[in-house]
Amino acid sequence: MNAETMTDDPQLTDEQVSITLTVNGQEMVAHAEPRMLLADFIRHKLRLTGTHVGCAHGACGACTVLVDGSPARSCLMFAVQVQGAQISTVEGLACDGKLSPLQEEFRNHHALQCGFCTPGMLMSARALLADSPNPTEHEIRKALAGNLCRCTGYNNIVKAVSATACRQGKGIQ
Amino acid sequence: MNAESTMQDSANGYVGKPVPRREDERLLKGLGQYIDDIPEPSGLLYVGFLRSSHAHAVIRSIQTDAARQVKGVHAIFTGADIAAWTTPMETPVPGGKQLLRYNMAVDRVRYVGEPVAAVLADSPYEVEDALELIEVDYDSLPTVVSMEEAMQSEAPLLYDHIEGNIAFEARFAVPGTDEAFAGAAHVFADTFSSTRLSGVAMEMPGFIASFDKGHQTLSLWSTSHLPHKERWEIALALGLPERSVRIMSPDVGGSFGLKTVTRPEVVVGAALAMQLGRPIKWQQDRQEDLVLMHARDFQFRIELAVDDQGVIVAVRNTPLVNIGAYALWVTTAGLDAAGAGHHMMGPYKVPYYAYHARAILTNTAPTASYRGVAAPICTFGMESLLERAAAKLGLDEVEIRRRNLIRKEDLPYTNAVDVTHDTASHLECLERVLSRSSYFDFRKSKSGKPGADGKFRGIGLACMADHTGQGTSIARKRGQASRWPGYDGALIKIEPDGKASVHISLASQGQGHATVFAQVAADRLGLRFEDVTVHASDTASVPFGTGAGASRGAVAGGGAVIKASTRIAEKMKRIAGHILEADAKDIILKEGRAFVNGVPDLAVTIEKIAETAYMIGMGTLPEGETIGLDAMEFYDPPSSTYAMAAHIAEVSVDPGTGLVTVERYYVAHDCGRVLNPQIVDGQIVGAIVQGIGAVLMEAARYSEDGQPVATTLLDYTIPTMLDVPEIVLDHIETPSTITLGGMKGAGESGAVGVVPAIILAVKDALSAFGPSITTMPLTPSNVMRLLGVHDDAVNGGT
Repeated sequence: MNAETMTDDPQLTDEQVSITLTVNGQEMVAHAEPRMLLADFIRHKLRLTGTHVGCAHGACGACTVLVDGSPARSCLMFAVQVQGAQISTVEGLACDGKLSPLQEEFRNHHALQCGFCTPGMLMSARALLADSPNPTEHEIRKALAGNLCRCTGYNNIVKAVSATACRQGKGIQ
Repeated sequence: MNAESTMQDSANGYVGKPVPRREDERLLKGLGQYIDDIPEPSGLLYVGFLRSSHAHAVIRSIQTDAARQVKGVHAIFTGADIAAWTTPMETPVPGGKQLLRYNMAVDRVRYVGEPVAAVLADSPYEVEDALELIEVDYDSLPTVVSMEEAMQSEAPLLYDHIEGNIAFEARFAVPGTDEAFAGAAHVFADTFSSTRLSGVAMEMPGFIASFDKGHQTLSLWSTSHLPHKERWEIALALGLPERSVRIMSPDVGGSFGLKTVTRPEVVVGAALAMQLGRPIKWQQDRQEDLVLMHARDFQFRIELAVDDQGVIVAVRNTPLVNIGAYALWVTTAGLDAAGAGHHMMGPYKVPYYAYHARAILTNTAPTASYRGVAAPICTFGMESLLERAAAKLGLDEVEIRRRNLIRKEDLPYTNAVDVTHDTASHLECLERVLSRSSYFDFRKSKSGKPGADGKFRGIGLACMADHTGQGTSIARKRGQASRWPGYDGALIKIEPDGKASVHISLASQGQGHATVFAQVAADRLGLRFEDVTVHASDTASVPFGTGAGASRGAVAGGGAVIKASTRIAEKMKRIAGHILEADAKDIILKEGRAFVNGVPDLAVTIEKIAETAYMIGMGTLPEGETIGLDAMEFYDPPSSTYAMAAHIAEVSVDPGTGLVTVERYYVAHDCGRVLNPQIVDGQIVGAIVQGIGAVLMEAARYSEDGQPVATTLLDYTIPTMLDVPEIVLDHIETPSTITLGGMKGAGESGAVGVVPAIILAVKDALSAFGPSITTMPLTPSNVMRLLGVHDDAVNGGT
């Protein structure tokens, strides 16, 4: 994928900044105004629309991505802040088109309905499981309390994350 | 579960099984197509709206010169421009009059947030730049924010021609109701209210409108899930024929009722696309979402008359609904008010009943019907008054419910508003939830007593019926029959390769339509689940219908799919019989094959049947049989069908902070035939948690001069993962006797029972203080007031 060709405005103005970063393991270059939010940059410049914007004021967690491995709300960062960073988005979770264990457990446990909050939920859960491979139920609830969901009532999400931890603990991929 | 044993023609048996959702893989990979994910057509312009900062004012002037100079800005339009290109929305109001809603304010604004000017620019950032530079000169007018203010005799009027600010009024009484009250042994009455809510679907509304000047057709990608209603309203507003307007709903990220509304912004965007010949996009932001449309702003005066045994003699409901500054529906301003009239009796036998429902105009954001409509507050009132009656009569609070619930031997029970209960498992639901929760032990050992942690514990019970699957006849009875019908349609095609596509008139907002309707069709057609796809979002390809809402998808959509697939199955059996030289009535369709009953080897594949039906030069279609394998059918449910449930909540209340925690929750539920238990459970649990928000935390408040004060998700808080208890769910499955397939609706009932269950649990926990709880949310500061702690410094409560 050539990020250069994905920018819809190749005629750069002075205000545009060139940003080089790694997204889901792939180096990309694109341009953005300094005021452009990271969420908008990922969605509309890189065309990775799996990262959703649910509030744009840092309250709902739908736009959560990993920046150098840590969860971050991409609506509270500017694109220029990720110069040289490693970004992971929901599009990077599946491997060769196959759902990751976390994604599979979300499906198995009916942990999504409308699916709008799901990408942020998955990224927060992924960060949690990377830090804490065997979290208690309360640790899961605490770690994901910043991700709002209006459809599921949450309990199936907790079960899905728990089941993923259990599966990983047993080495089942 | 008895789904398989009674589901006729369900040879494959997908119905009733927790078939994994086929929507999920795409959504989990981040490949959903929500409105803001759709690739933008070239030449697209973003639109954004300058909004009124006044609750009620006359617009003197609008200065846009500076804003027009901003880089990237193409044009700015005001209400006068839009009024020339669109027809205002007209809703009937009392006195044979009409309430007009201009799509953008022309000379007067009536709530904070009303659109005043539209900016078109290359990017949403440039739209925001320009909006900051528009100057509007207003002359303030007196405001009315609450219904009390609006109904005073000298209150300012929102519309000079609408007396008393009353936009809808309906009365109904069973003859003899007044006499029944007069002669009753006991009457209990109170006013039960909600606090105004926001819907907070995680995806916010938006659209892309594109107009083809050559064909004179409008294509509109929209977050509406009632696509045919939106098509009609847009066509009406723009003066286009319905055939020239195409509505496409992509993935819709939740609605809970608020996306049923055709927003003025959509009409403006469509008009601008027509005028400019360029695609126009709008994506609402969360601050707009929290102030532009609300829900459930109710005050219901409810009276209950019982005899000396606690048996209900009569009920009267006087509901008031604050609908804000405008009606949101072309057909009526009284969806919630009339709903309050209809939903009041719930699961109980009520011989005499009357209501007087009104919808009141105020200088606040318009309110839409929200999950549960009026039923949560009706049920809150009924359950609370029954418990008061029990206390007065020295009866057990469970026993008074048992004495009044509709029983199987009462069936068919037609209630006072002429809706018939076709099944009644209320007592089974009640007994199941009582035993699951060890209710009586809890009452004896824990209720109202401080625990080791100093917190008071309480338990609350609610019985409820939910009005679901409403067909056209009910709208007709309520005087609300309109072009928004009561039926839904399914067009099913088996393509020449033997794979089926199901086109239905209901667009999903997350309920899993692509899965459940494929289950229903695959069973009837004898196809494998993976060979059936569901399309539900494009008015150019789906039949006309009502759309998803009001707990009607499984009933109306399921019925339409059953009818259409049954017709195709009959034709396939005739063709198979012809090929196999057997009688069509001996043919069984299963797993992609047609075979003769008892002779499984005498078979033909559905691929072969499809080939025969389409490639008529190659095969042998029976004499007189028509070409192809498709059918379009509509299903109009004959009435409404009540789903039912009993809910129990266990709570703790911290007397030091007033914090209420829901610790455990139990529900026993009967929504008739269950199509997919996993999806039904998800609907019920999700609705209960939404209700926890309504009861404990959510409030879309206004200042006295009509300024909304909860404008971010930090001010308007909804439940998080930490607010949710274990929810224990039991199903009782009693198929409806009146709906095709036996289904009842499941989407809303969780949001109904949760309100009285939690509130009565808090009342139980605080029984030592004898609180009377008639409103919500039970925020810590409001609970401290119930405990007798009055702190004038606390401004957060109502």
